[in-house]
Amino acid sequence: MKKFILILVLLISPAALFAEEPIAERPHWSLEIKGGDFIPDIDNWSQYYGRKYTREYGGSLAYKLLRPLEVGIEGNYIEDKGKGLAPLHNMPAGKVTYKLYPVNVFVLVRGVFSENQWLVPYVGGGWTRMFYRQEVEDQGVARGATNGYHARAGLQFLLDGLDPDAANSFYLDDGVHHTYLFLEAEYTRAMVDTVSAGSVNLGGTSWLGGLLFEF
Amino acid sequence: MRAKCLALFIASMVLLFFTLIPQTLFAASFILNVPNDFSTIQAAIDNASLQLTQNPGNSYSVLVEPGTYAGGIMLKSSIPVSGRETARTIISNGGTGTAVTANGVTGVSFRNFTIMNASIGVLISGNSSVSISNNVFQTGSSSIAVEIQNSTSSLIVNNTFYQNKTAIMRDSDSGSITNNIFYNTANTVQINQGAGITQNSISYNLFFPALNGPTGTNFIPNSLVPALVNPDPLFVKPAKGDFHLQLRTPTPSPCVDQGDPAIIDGIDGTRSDIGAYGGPNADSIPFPVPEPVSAPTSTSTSISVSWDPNNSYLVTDPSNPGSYNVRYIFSSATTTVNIPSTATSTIISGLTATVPVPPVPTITLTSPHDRALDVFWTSSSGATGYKIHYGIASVSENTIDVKFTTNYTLFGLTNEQWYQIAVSAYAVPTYLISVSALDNVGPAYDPGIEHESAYSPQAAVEVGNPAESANSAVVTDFPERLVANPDLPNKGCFIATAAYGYYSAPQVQALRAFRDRYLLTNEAGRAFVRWYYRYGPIGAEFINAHAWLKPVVRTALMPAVGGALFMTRTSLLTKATVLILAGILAGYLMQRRKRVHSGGER
Repeated sequence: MKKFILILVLLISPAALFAEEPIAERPHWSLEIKGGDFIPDIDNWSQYYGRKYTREYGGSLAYKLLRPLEVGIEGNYIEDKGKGLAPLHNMPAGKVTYKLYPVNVFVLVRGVFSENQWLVPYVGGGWTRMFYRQEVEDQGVARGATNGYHARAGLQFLLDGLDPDAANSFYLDDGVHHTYLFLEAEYTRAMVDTVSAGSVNLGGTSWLGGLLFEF
Repeated sequence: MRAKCLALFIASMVLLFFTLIPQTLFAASFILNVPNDFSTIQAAIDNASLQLTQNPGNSYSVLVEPGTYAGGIMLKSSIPVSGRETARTIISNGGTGTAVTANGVTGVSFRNFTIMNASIGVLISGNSSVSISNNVFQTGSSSIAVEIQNSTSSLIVNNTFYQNKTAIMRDSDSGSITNNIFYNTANTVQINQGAGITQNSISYNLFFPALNGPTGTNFIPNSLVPALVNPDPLFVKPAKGDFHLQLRTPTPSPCVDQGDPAIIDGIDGTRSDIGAYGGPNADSIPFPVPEPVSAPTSTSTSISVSWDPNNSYLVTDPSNPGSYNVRYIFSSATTTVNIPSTATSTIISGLTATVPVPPVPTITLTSPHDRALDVFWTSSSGATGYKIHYGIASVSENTIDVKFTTNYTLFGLTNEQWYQIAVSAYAVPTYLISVSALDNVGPAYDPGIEHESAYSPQAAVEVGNPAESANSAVVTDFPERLVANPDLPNKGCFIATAAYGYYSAPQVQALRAFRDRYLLTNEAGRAFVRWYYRYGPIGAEFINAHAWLKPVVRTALMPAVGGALFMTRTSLLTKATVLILAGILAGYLMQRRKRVHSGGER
């Protein structure tokens, strides 16, 4: 935990150096709000949870060290409800609630070459701390956390041109330089030892979309 | 040519007819119902007002069925609003704010509601002309029931003001304040500060218990009943919302037939009563009786039914009694028995005490849990309940009546023990019994609509013996502890956490670090962890339930914690040094022991 906080402070600390700067032409922060589908990297997932994917919601905040380069932190929430395994019957049974709370510290590069660029590709990745909570009804809760990593890439579409007046007001009133709609794919790997069946990756592949505000 | 002229003449006459006749001849009346047509009173008023604008020749009104509705209602011109039943059509405003507002509206009546929990019940302002009648105001002891501002032609007639701070506040003489009951109200009719007006147009009202504020003319207890010592209006049951009047002998309610002689009661056609149930627009629906008390008699083909009386003078007058309808439903057939209101009980006899045996259900699925089994089965037509029979050697060992459901979880079983399970269906002859109150004036009766109350809640009474099917085919299954997929570990040492009280205790963290570094890295260690995760929670639960064990367990864990700390917090060199020293010490002690046993040096 101490290492995590130290890394976070080191990554975010450059923000303090620029905090007193006058309003610049370029944005310094990125805020993402997103949601989508998460495909767990777990065998037989659909046999117990009914489908191959589940819902994921999250958000991130990042500081731009340079216009195209930013570091930040991302928090997501994943939940599904399904059945457990009756091992002697070898059949799904009961009720299980499965929750993941991945926290990512990341470095991200956005391919921005002009403030009016309408299509921006981006790629990034970093360290993941995967918190989990799993409850078998009437039996109890297992909770814990494990470390891992993640990588993501996507495309963001500049929305300012759709309504320039609104975009201008958004900047003048709230300091938001740009608003983007984005779509991304994210892969997470966070291994953990199971009680009875070796190690398993709690991560998986996420297909996410959302809004990005640069300010 | 003549035919053409004739046709032209007829056409002109038709046109003239439709132009000159009054438009009102084609006018239609529309009633917008809440909640059948609109879910809120305001939505119905707004729609009626819009339709009136588009069709000024028609008339529109809003009728509200019994229920509790939100306040904040704005009345609109020429849209009368009424409740179906004063006692059960309630506007509740959550304790604050104004429940109903009439601002600059004309041609509006607002009647047959109970208004509760508001700072102001009805606010009339802006030169409005509104008739407020047949309402019960229970707005609260710090509230104003009706406030009139700059609206001289509004009428306040036949209302009951119950325990408000101020019943009516006004800044001018409204049209009239007539036939109202002011019960335990601090200020009856109050002049708004600084208005400097006289108090006129107040007549035929009852004030109980004190005469507080202006009373006007012909008021009770003075003018109408000079000898009256206690002018209690004798409400039937205010705590339940029943503000009908009682006919208590020998002294009846002083409000019965004592209102303005110029006003006639719509219910019985006599001189008006005072209060919310007098005048031409009072609802004629008696207050419902509570759920009856019903039980089968010893004959098993009859049921005794008794109920609380409805003490309204329109129902229980001994010289002119109303009645009760006792309704019972069996197998979708409805039968009604009329009982004079002098009685509040009856026996329904000659009932059917048998029903067909329902078909045998089939168990469709059993599903294991930790010490439990879910059982699912098919429904049987005509069944009123089911029984589960289960046991280890025979299904007759245990029987549970699970009532009317098609799935049930058997708890308290032993994991990995086979059980036999069967289900049977049963049917019991069940009668649903309810009661309504009818007044003594009729002549037409319609429950919840006119002269007859809505039926009480139904009482279910079982008569005779149940008819039970044979058991279903026996199904065998066993419960077991479930495993989640993936089977994630709980990252905590159960017993140590219970003993030290919290997961982040340094001792717990030392054991956890030892587990991660020395147990989870080899198969034997992982096997131990699996075993511990299975049974550790049981031990932790026992320690948590017996707090005195915690210091004992902490003491017992000391060597393990010390060993874990040594193994996880020290360098390899330290470990090697300590092991070598321990080896030397052990070797020395063994040598010494040998010498002692051989009789050598001590």
